[in-house]
Amino acid sequence: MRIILIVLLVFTYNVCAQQDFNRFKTLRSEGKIPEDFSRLTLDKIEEDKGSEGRSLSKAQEKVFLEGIHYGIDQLLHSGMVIYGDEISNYVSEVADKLLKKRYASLRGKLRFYTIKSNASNALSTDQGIVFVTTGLLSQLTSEAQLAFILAHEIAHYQEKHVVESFEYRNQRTRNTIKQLSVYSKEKELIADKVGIEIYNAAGYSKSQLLSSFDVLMYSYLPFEEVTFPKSYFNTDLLFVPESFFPNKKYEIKVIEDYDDSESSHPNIKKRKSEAISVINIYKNWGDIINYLGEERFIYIRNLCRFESIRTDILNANYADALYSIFILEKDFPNSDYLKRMKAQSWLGIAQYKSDGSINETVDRNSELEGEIASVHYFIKRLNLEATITMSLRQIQDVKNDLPNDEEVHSIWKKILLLSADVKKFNIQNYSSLTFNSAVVAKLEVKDSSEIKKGLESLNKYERIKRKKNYTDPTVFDSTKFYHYALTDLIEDEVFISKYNHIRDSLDLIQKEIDAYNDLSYYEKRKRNKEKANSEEWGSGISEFILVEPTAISYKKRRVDYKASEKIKTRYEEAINNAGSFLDMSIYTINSKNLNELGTLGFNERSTLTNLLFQFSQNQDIDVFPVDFSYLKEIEKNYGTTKIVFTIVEHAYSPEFSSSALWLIFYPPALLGYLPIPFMNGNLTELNLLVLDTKTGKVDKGISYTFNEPTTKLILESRMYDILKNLKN
Amino acid sequence: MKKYFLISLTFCISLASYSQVNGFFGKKNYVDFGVDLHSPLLYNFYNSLNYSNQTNLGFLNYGFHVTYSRAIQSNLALGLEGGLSYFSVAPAQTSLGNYYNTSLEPIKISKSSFMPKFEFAYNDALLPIGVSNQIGIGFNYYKALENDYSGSVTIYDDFGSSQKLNVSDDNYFNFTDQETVQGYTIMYKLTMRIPINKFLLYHFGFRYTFNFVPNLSDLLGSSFQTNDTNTNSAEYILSQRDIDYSIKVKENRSLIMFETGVTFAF
Repeated sequence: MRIILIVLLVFTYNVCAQQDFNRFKTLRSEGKIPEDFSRLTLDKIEEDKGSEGRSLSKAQEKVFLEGIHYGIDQLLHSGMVIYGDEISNYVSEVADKLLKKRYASLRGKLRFYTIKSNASNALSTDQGIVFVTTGLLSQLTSEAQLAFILAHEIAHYQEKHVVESFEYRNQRTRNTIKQLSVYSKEKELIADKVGIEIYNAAGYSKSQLLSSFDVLMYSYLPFEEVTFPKSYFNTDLLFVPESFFPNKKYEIKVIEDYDDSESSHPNIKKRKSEAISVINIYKNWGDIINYLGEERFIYIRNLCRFESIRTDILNANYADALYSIFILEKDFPNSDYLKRMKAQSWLGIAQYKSDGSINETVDRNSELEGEIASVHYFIKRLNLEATITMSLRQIQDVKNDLPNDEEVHSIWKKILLLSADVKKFNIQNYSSLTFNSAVVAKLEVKDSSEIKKGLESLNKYERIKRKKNYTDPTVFDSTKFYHYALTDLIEDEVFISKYNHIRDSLDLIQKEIDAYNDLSYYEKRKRNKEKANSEEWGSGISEFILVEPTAISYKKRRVDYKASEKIKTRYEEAINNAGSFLDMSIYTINSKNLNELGTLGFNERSTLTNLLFQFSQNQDIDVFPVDFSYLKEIEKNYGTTKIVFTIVEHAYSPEFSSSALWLIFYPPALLGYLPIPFMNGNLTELNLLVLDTKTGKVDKGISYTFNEPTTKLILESRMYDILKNLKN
Repeated sequence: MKKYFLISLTFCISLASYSQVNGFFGKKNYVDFGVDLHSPLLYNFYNSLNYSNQTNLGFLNYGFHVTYSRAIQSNLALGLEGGLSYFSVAPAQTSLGNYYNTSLEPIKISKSSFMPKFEFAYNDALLPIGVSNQIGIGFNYYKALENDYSGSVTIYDDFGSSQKLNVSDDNYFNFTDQETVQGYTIMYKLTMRIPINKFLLYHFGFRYTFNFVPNLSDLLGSSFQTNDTNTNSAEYILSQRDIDYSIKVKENRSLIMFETGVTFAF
């Protein structure tokens, strides 16, 4: 009985710990925050100075350490990296299995983190960190493939390839790309060789080894290669004609023996052939494919596949997201997450289409490859009116499925606003008949004797014109399929009244804009002045969340990391001082107080950083935050919807006018000229963005350029100026 | 005096008519207290001091100034400046004629200045902090300062023999009845102000001036033309126009000076 209870408890624990894909939420870091994330970069550099195994001069070591530590820390705090989550833990366990037999001293020394990225990649650093992307994991077919990739990265670390490459670059003053490529490829083949040794020692099956290279070669394609059915979008309320899909297959172009003369890695053919010769060295091959179990592998892979959809939306790759949703829907038809992501994707497509920048989100014709090409082709093929209709239709369907979902409701409000704003979309043009009913109605008309008689009496030219203009009652224009896709909505009084209300309000605004445009120059100036006097510049902001400010100091056109750190510290203090001077509440989330904030703070910071990244994709679009639910949590925790991102950049570089050379002939004038460039040599740029998570809009974007150094009080007085205006 | 009053009044009205700037922590008014430092090295280099008993006019001249300014926009301010500075000149005795040679100690001059000015800065400046440019046009008033000067006059006769006479402060120049010399000045100043705390700033910069002392050319022209020798009976070695001329020469060569001080913002 006791055993049964224990088993039950363990089973329950496992079930609880696992994600329910129907209620999936994007993964976040868990557990205690690792030192890699909480320690300051400068401290890491100090500690790493003089480490063994490097034959670098002091100056070279400084460049090397600054490069690796600042570079990796930037990645760690980019909002893309997670730790302590199920994926990272799984990767660590697989790595531990590898290290047990070979390099046991590295057990517990190497750290494994996950990057939420759809690029298929893994990398190891000189610090002993190994990163694996969700994109790579989503492509694998077995744990053994992951084991080989990890073994390859462990080999890079063990063989000290990072520092060796740095030394190579420094030894030769003029390295050509080809020289560097040859060097790098040698290191890759060594890593493959050592990797196979580690892989073999762990007892993994050789059958999975070569297929790892296939994973890498085809990883630019989606995680599955299945036909996208032309009937995918068809429902009782929507019918999309097949003519909107490509009538050919787009072949996959990549080959194994591609030109690698300038790439860092050898081509797959060379790697495979080298690998085969190494495989043949070993006779004692194991047969492990999934040491931690196939079920767990598939579970982890599904986590990564679910993550890949969010990453696609974050990067505005909506067509890719839709294709992944289509694949995952088969196994998870009731997943709320997939439905929400579908709604977000269609909103994004409609926004980019109406902005005229749809080509930023879909592949060019020349880039179309594989089955996913159908989705890209379809989205490109839709005109603006059709896109808005498709988006409305899809989002409405999701809303019908999840009527009480706050996120879906917010998406629906956005698409409603957009549809009312797009002139080419007019609800009056829409039929109360579905596509099928409309076709049947046309057939009935065609068969009526009256129509037949009327048509018979027409001459050749009248018939042509009627067909061309679609005024022939017997001809049905299937390209306007979307006019039959909103039958439920046009009969929904609530929808129509909301739509009309928004449209009327927007018309009123447009009239005001038109009236303003008709004014003369002086009238416009007068109007602007009146408006400026009547309106407050500020937003009445008295509290906000400050996401760790960024500071960059340039010295001789290169980033001076040490100076940048100092400016960042001063800048952050300046913001907080100015805020408290003005009785404003500022909640700072930064890497310095991560030890106090812990993983919760780190996750919040990541969510906000991703939000900024999403906004930066296209500044003309009121993007919908992909991590909507987490943002709501942050709003709740801090009691504010205002998020402030800010960056300050500084350089001191006096610019001397070439014409001033003539002054050399009159030294007193030269003496008079010299102080001018020196005193004007400071150039500081300060940018600040206030995002409102409630409206999903940029509340304020402030940009200042000034010829001043970045002392604390100068920054503080600037921030006083900005914050006072924001507050009033 | 009336004209200064009118200028000041106009200025104050213009200051009062503007407001809409945050200033330095909300402070739009500020007063600069500064020290000007100017080296007459160039003057020493370009001028032969034939009439002086010293080979140069020192290495550093100095002065003080006080400016009240008010920011009317974040990058524009108006101000009033008053200043007092000191320098030395080596006057050339112009009226004794060819039979005399003087070797006199340089005379100290005080210069009072009064100047309305406007201040502007580029980009998104926030006056008074940071780099700013100031342009002003105003008046200068020069006066020779009484001191224990010493010197000598050598008198030559037609036969080549000479007689050297020592000159004391009493017959150097009529300091009591001297006229105040008025000049005009055009000034450009490049200043950097760096805050020390929320009301005090440190400033430094360079001041470029063009000083103009009018009507002297006529005066000097007549002097040289008439070759006036009636000073044999005069009580003083140096005349007013000697002083005026030396001031003009000196001021024309005082183009650049370093300036530093503190600024109070309120």
